[in-house]
Amino acid sequence: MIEVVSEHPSLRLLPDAGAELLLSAVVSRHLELAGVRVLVIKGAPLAMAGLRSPRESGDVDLLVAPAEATDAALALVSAGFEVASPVTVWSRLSSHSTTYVSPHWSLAVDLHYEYPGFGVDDASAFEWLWSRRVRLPMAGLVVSVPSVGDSAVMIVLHDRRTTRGKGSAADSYADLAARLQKRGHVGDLLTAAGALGVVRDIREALLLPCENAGLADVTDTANQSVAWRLRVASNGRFWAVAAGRLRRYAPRERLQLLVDAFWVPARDIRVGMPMVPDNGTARMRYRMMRWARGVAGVTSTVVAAFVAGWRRVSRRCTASWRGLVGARR
Amino acid sequence: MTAGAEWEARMFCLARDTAQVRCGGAVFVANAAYLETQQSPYVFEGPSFEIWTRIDGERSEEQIVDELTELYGAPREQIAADVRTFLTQLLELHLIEETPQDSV
Repeated sequence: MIEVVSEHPSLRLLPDAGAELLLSAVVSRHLELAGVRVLVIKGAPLAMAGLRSPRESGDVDLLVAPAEATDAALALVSAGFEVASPVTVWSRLSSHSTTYVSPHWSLAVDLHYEYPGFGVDDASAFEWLWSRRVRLPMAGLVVSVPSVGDSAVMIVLHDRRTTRGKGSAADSYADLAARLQKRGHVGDLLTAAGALGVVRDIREALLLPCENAGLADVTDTANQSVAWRLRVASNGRFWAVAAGRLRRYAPRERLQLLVDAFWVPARDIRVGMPMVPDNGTARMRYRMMRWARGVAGVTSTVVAAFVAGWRRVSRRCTASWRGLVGARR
Repeated sequence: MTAGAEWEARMFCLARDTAQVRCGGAVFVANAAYLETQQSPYVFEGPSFEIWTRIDGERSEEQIVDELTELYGAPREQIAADVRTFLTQLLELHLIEETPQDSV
């Protein structure tokens, strides 16, 4: 007798690479059916596009428009997924994604409603990525992924964020640049970098290694790359990110979040910082340490903003002076 | 043509939202449209794998039974009954659908 069996012990035999393809395809299609526009990012699509070698992944990364994040979350919950870690003041104010897990799948789903690093606002960035999406066959279905140029930009931004500028990824960038050149995607990369406002951010990593990239023709069309630079420059990035995030909440909720951010509730400390001993003194010490870090972060952010502004002004003055001298001659 | 013969002549293909990944002698299957009620992927190995991989919109049930009879050397009636049961279950789970006759 042949029977259809679910919850089969052999599910454990499915390697993560196979599980990633199946889960990406199924969840992506499930969200599409729920009316959510979703892009499968990082992981398998990068390998399938030839941008990096295949590697095992612990999760599936999806990107949705910020306005559709709630619908996406509801669709995931209806499919048996639940949020991996409880919501805290930190996750509400600074996280760009939420991780969902299901007892039926070996991999988690990382649902991104933002992708940190773009020089344009998150909704505009998503619209750009969506307008240039590529349909990719995956596990018998067809999913949407960012274009090759957009994906390359996202690789560099992700590395910058995770290594915070400390890692040396020059070799992998050289390899990525070579792959882009070989496949004729340098033009696409330049278009993406200009529209997403990250020309300066990826210049050293990707544009310079791409010979004849035509750098002179490309400029950031966005004007917010300074904000990202400030975020990176700031030691206490939480405060820089949180300041922007607060604007999204209703006034009353905003006030509550602000209070929670300064006086983190005991529950959030227990959940988010399990290493802090569960007593009032330790929690108070932890809060004071956070305040100190926050002050340091805000200070460095202000200094970075001042330096960036000063450089811009001095550059303009120099240019005007040279123009003046040239005109007299 | 009898009802049984009609059934045997029917052809099936994967449902529109069914995803699958093959890994060695097993195939892992899930239907995105029914993820709310079927949250775990299905695994087909052995005979069920052999049937699943033959559901391609081109083979009829009769052809699948013939091929499996040849493969396993078991009595045709027994294999036909098993294949019918399995296909019926797959249809009920919306993992496959009948191929429209005019598209063949």
